[in-house]
Amino acid sequence: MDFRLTDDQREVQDVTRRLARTEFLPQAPRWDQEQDAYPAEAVAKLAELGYLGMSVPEEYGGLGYDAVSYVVVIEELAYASAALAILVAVHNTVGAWPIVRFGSEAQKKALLPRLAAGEVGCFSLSEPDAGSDVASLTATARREGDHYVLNGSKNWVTNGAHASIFNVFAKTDSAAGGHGITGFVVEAGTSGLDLGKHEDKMGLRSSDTVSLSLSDLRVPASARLGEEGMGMKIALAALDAGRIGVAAQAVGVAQAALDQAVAYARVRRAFGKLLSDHGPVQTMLAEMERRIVGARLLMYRAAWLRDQGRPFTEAAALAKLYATESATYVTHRAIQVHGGYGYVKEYPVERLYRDARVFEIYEGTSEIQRLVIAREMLKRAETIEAPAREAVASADNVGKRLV
Amino acid sequence: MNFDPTPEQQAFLESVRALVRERIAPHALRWDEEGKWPAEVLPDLARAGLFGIYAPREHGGRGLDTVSYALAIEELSSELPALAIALSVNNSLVANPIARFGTVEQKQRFLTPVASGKLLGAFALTEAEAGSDATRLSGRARLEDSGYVLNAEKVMVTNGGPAGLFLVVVATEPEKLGRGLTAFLVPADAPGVTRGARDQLMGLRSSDVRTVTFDNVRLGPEHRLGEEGRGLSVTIEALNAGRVGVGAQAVGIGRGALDRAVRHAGRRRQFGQTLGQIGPVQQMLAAAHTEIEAARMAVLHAAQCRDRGESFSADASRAKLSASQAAVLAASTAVQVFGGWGYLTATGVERFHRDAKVTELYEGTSEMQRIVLAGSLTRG
Repeated sequence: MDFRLTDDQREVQDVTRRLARTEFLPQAPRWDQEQDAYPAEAVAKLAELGYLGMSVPEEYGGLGYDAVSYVVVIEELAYASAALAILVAVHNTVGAWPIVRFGSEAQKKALLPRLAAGEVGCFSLSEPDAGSDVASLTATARREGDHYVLNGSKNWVTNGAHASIFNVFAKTDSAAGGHGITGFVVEAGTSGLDLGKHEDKMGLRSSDTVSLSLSDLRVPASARLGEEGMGMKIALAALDAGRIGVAAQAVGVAQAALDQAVAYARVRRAFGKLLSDHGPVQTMLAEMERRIVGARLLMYRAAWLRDQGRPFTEAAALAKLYATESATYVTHRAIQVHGGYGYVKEYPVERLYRDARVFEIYEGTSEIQRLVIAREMLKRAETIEAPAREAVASADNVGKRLV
Repeated sequence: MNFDPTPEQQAFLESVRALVRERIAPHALRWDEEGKWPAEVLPDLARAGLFGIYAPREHGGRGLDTVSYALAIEELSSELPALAIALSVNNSLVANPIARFGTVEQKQRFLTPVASGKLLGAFALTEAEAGSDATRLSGRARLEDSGYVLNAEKVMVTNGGPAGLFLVVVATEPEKLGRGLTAFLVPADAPGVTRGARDQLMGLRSSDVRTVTFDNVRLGPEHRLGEEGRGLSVTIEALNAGRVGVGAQAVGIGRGALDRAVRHAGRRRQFGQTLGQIGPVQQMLAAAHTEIEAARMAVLHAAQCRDRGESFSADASRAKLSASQAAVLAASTAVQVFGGWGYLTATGVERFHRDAKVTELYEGTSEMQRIVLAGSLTRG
């Protein structure tokens, strides 16, 4: 048992930290505050350094990073800018990775080198009336000879405004519920793929979020991702991986908020002493710190399990739930430590607070994570034979001690 | 990076698990109800090396690492938390500082029997008027002729009744506060050692906790552990490791409670479905489990830091702080999932609720852990 990063992973962390804190961190307030700002230069820089190919194998032009290195990168990017981190995370985990895992050889050869080189990928599953309840989505894909024709409305497409490649999910069999969903890889600019409104959001303001309308969108059958009916499996697998990325984002933002709070507490005086010498402030800082460390370890564990090729659905849900709730808590307390200054844009903590708020919502709400976790707990409990010692709590045998 | 136990850690864990299943689980509920000190199982635990898990083999220990210790304490605690603390005290608060500060003779005379389970250890620091503020002890030892005379009244001494050896911390130079403390190894049969009646506790009812008084106890210099004035270092060494143990104990309490709650949720039917199919029940089970899992990571992380010889004071505080809060939440959740049945002693979950609370109190309250942790952030 050794929870430390390997030397290679540590190297990735050092390099990315330096890049993110010198080049991106100073720009984060501007990206946040300018209307429709898009960190194009940062994306170009990240592409040049290979970060847009983290999940793409080397044979297709990517870096072929393991999942632990990946979360290390996302955490460091999020420390500087959560909006930039989600752009890179979505691109890698739900943009490129489904093609790596489920794509045909032809799709991989055609698409992965482009994604690794800096064309942005995105993922379109949610609809106005179908979010967590994936099986109820209503977009359709009708087979017509060598093509499919897609129709429907899509929402919450992160990276949608700048993406070249869209992973779109629609129903090929409306009667089959979740088993009737199929994935498609659609090129930007295809006739019938229309970008809708650009959402004006509370946080992550320089990350673009668009709606899509699919109007008789014709794609060749060769654009189908996996088999017909595999879409839900692909989407859920992508989201499992995506959740570790969101956990990493949350850890990065929370660490940034804690560092701000500590720095402030060490210089600001009240009642004749530093804030850091006031018990109630110490209490807040300690509670912030312990959550971040716990979240980071859960995140590493989920990523490590994924790298071992072992089941990691529950581990990813645990990591996302704990990390995102921690980010909510930590960014809230970071403002509290700053007092009134925390509420003004001159200090970064109000941005961190706004950015963090979505972490408990996207790629599966906290409620969905708890549902996933509870189901795994109940499944495990079924496999454990109830020990004889237990007096089962039911009307007919309570009080009958079995020991 | 590796989140799996090593084969050695795994093998040890499985041996502890089997022991707990066969020798402890069948009796835990009754022992708690009767407040029975589980003397009958101690020889089995001694044979398994649980009294000196990370103590050196040449001194009667099992010679494993702190991770193995944390895994074992969690396992014991998932069935009988009182036993977990009895062993954690013996391992971390007594055997550990002797291994660290003891002379060769002290190790032979005291560590070997303590680590092998022949002599139970207890740690006597707290006094009626000195709890978290351990630097203002009123217990004294003064040098006379060729030895020390020790006078102290120590309260809430875990293992106080059955202990054969007390590690006692008192002031030798009271005006120096923390730098004037000294630790002593006091055999329980030394003239002047008196044990009070067993304290009645809210939880951990199988624990033996009591006041122990030391009345003009005469000790040769060979009983002094470490140098004069180093008592605080001995205490910190003991408590840092002890907090990893309390963290592991708390994780075990949370897991023990939740395992019972999940099994119950899978069987109990209301409104035509199992509790486990009901949304709010799922949400609370998962929320508590998540806190426990995060806490286990923090505990095992602190254990690894200790095994690498790193300074791990903040890590130990974080582990205990996280785990104790998680345990309280998980145990309360378990009772809630059982509903009214959970309030009955017979169903075996309310005891975890009672046991959990003390993990936020002993070996440093949560408030003290937060001060340690905040200090590590804001200093330097």
